[in-house]
Amino acid sequence: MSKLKQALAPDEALAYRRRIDTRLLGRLWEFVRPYQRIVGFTVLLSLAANALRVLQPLVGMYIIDHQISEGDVNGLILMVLLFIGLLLLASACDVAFTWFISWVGQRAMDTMRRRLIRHIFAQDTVFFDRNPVGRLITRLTSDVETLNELFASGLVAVMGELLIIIGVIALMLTQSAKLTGVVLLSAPFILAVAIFFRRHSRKWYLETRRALATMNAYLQENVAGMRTVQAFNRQRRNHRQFASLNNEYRVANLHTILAFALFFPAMSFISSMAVAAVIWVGGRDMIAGRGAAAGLSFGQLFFFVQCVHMLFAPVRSLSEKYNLLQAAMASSERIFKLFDQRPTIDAPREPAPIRPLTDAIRFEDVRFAYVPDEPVLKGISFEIRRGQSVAVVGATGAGKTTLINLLTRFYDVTSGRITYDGVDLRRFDPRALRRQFAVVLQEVFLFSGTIADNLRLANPELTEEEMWEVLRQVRAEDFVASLAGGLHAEVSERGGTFSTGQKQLLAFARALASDPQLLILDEATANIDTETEQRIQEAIGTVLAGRTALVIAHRLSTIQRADRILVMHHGQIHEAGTHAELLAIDGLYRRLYELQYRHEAVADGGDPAAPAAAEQLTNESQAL
Amino acid sequence: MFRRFDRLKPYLWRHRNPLLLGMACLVASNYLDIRIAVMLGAGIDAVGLPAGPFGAVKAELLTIFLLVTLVLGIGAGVTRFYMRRLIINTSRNVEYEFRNDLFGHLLRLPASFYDRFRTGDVMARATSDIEAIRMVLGPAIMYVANSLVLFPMAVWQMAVISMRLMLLCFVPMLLVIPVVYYFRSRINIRARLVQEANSDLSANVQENLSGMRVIKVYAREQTQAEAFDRLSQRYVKANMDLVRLQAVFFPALSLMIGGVVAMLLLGGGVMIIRGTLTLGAIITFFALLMTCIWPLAAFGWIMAQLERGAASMKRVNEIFEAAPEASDEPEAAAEDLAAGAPAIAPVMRGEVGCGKSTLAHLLMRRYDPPRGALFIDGRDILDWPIAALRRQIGIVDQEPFLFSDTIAANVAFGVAEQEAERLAPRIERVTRVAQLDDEVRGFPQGYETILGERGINLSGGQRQRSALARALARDPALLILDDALAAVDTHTEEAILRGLRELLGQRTTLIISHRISTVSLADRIVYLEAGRVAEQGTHEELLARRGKYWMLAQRQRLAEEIGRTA
Repeated sequence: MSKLKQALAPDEALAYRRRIDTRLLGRLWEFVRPYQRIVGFTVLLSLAANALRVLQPLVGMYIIDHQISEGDVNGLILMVLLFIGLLLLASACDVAFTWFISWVGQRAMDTMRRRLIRHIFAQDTVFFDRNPVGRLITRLTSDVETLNELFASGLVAVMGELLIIIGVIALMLTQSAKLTGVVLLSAPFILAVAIFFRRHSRKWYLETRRALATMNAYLQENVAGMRTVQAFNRQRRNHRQFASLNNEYRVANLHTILAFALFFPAMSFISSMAVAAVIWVGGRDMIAGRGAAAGLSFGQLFFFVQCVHMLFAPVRSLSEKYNLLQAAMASSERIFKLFDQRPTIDAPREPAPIRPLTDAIRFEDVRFAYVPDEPVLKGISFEIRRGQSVAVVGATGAGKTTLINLLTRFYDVTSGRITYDGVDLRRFDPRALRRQFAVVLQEVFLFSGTIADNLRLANPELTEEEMWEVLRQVRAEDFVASLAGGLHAEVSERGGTFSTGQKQLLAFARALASDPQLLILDEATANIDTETEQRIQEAIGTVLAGRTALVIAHRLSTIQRADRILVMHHGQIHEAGTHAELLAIDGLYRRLYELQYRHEAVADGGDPAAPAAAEQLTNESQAL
Repeated sequence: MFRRFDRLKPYLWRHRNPLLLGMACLVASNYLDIRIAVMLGAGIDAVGLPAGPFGAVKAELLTIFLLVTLVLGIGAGVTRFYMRRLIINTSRNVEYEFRNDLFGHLLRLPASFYDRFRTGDVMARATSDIEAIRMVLGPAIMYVANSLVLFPMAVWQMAVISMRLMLLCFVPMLLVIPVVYYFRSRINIRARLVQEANSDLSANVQENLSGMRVIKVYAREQTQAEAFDRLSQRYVKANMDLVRLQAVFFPALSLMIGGVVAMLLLGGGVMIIRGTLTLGAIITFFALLMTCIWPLAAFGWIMAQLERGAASMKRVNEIFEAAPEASDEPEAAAEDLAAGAPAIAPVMRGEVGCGKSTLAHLLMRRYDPPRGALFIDGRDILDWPIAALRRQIGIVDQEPFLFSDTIAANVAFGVAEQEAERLAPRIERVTRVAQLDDEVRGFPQGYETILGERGINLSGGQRQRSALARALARDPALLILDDALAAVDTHTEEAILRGLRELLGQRTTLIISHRISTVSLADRIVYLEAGRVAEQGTHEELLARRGKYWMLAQRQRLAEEIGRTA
């Protein structure tokens, strides 16, 4: 069971941070600095609101000692109006305070989010391999939100509450040092209760979180793997395991409840006792006449009773805010850790200027490994001359896609080099480099928005006529025209409403719309109906015509269109040449051709079995 | 709306004793709080007693007052403590039982249910919805009961002191309710807008991160960041719309409370001047008003909780109302499937999507075929008790699901507990057959290695082999391999198949695959196409027929050859 729990919730302990780190606070302040004047103003507002609030018991005291004991009804009405006036002012200050502090908090968090997303955009592929999408989303949303809460209801409000405590004590001292002492006698008790509460609740708060995370992970897994659970008749045993995790959560909660059930009544008890003590001590003094000599009055007694109430409210909320502060510290630590990550693939300080290709792209003895000691490319050399199209064929895992990853600088070579008109790729700004290419990846990713938005990805200035022209070229015109809204038809998340074939056509259109001089195409192998297949082949023909291109090809028609074919096997180039040349040498290509493409050639691409055969090959080759 | 909560009645009834006791504590604590307020006034009045017969004992009266307050205070504290503990604990206990029962129900729901409900959806119902229901059962009930008890008591006490003052102060205080309601309903709407803006923002981040490659190859970082900026701005705006209300709400509330105090000062002051009321009475009044304020202010919160809880209850009920798998008397009718079963291994093979996996699902009774279509040992599969049927079968699914636990626990997943003592040798034997043993022993922690979620720290082949070991560990009468060795290389596969033959001997195996090498040794091969049997026979018979099976064999042989020459 303990192993199980460890497996289910491996990093729950990181959710909470013990100490308040001034260095982190300093970095947070950077985001607030532009608004420091407004922050200063909110501090003043908070001071004013709390000062006005502290004055209220004073007014009450004055009313009792003067207007009421002197029987002055008109004076009483005046004083009550004054009291209401103070109240209105305090409330107005409160409203302004909350508004301004939230405004600053929202602005600061907005800045933080924007910087964070740009920082993430600037990261290289290795970063995305390491950081799951879910984690990054949490950083950008809930972690930033926690910081905002800290700001909006935390720091400045805490200052205000500390101020109330100091102000009330000062005011009490002006009235009676002895009664102030009586009130402050409760301080050690409050402190003891608060500290006990904080320790106990923190411990069980952590335990509750851990238990909840573990239970939810278990639940999630069982729901997702319910087939397996049922296939192995595990219902009873898993029910028992779940009950035990559920019970841990329950027990942790009961402990938390205990802390709260003790805390609130204990605080009320201490405050009632403080009030009673004030009345007792003050009352005895007044009865003994000592009070009169010291100037103690009923109004003052009333004043002290109210002061006790004013002192206790902030103590309560301070102990609650402590948790918030710690959660915020943990969030900010995670956020800044993200900010501290630097991409390894980045523009050099003085990037080489990039111009349209005049000569060739060359791979020179390129070696590459995603994981050290597991080479994927083992010394690849070839060139793509301007205007030439090169097709790469080979089994899955031969390293074809890696060529694209290197050419677009999603990764950098481990050794050897790739040159663009003789200049090492690593000397270019990756963004400038990528602007030279149009890339169509195997899995088409469409952004939510409209079709027009997706076509304008590379060139926002594209007119509607131009877009239709592009769609016509890839034979997607009628399909888009048939959509409600045409170019402005909504594309749902990831283009979920389109078929695979339609998405492919749109991806070609998108690539063509950027009118690239260099084209990189990772041909998809998916099952597509015959008619769409036909269209896609024609579209590929259009897109490739007269362009410099690197194509990872699965279709015979695409391969035959290429000026040069590279046959890759186990990270090396096994054969190279034109279709005819390769068929002549009776090597790997010829066998591939016989195995897979002959069908296609005979059936003129119309044989529905052909794509399945391609998939077949992929499956088989994986096993080799 | 409250009919929905009917399902909870038995749970509450089971916990009636602590609940009733908690309610008793609630009544007592409110009563004591009111007595304390009264004592405060009495204490003040004792000080103000005119000299005379009582004057001499003033100091003693004051001491008595202190002691009584102390006792009352302790009583109030203790009852309040038990009130919270008993009521809130009960809500947690009910939550525990309720969630257990929900999980138990989930375990019995058929595959068709999980086709309809996504994992995330079920999770939301089992976690946040149950929490919302718990909030109704615990805090919401407690606060409602508290208000129902407190208000009559406090109003009565105030009226005893002065009817007039009560009308003057308490009645305007009731205005808090509509004000709170006004703000709450609007705050809720705007909070929802904030939530929407937030999920738009998250969705945008999600999309950007998933489409990062496309963004990068089109060098679209700047434009995408700007689109994000706009959403971030919208989120800020939605938040500020909410803040504008919230910023007014709490000060407005404290202004109203202050207004009530002002009324008290004015009305009470005038009455003292006229000599109809004492200062102590005013103090008591003040204390009583203060105890009523927060329950009133919490009114909106309680309403929101009740609404949320009712919506959640509806969603949880949807799960409870889903019909479970055909009832399985677990231990009854445990006939042995292997008894008399012919040792024939029909093997399925065919194109993608032709219905091979469906056969496996039907055999597992994940879905039910029409009656009279599928027989096991001459008995319609619909007449086999599900649990007994499944106990005889070891299945390796196409995409095997491993659990976050140790490798050992995953392999032993399907072994009945009573057989646990003979476990170690059996596990060793099956992991050796699955060609897993050497690799696992190579891990630093061996069989105690913890698998990440769904076994992400294993390779695809290792996952499949672990799932195979898991199925074999059950010692099944029927073994189903649903394309289970696709990610295992041919060499290892050969070794596995050899081991399987030895281990299973004459037992029945159903192998689903599209690899000729996997199926060629089977007693019988069934070639499926578009949901129908296209060819069947032994490997040799099918090759001799020179049909579809033969074509496939040719292609695969060529592919293998290429691998060798290269």
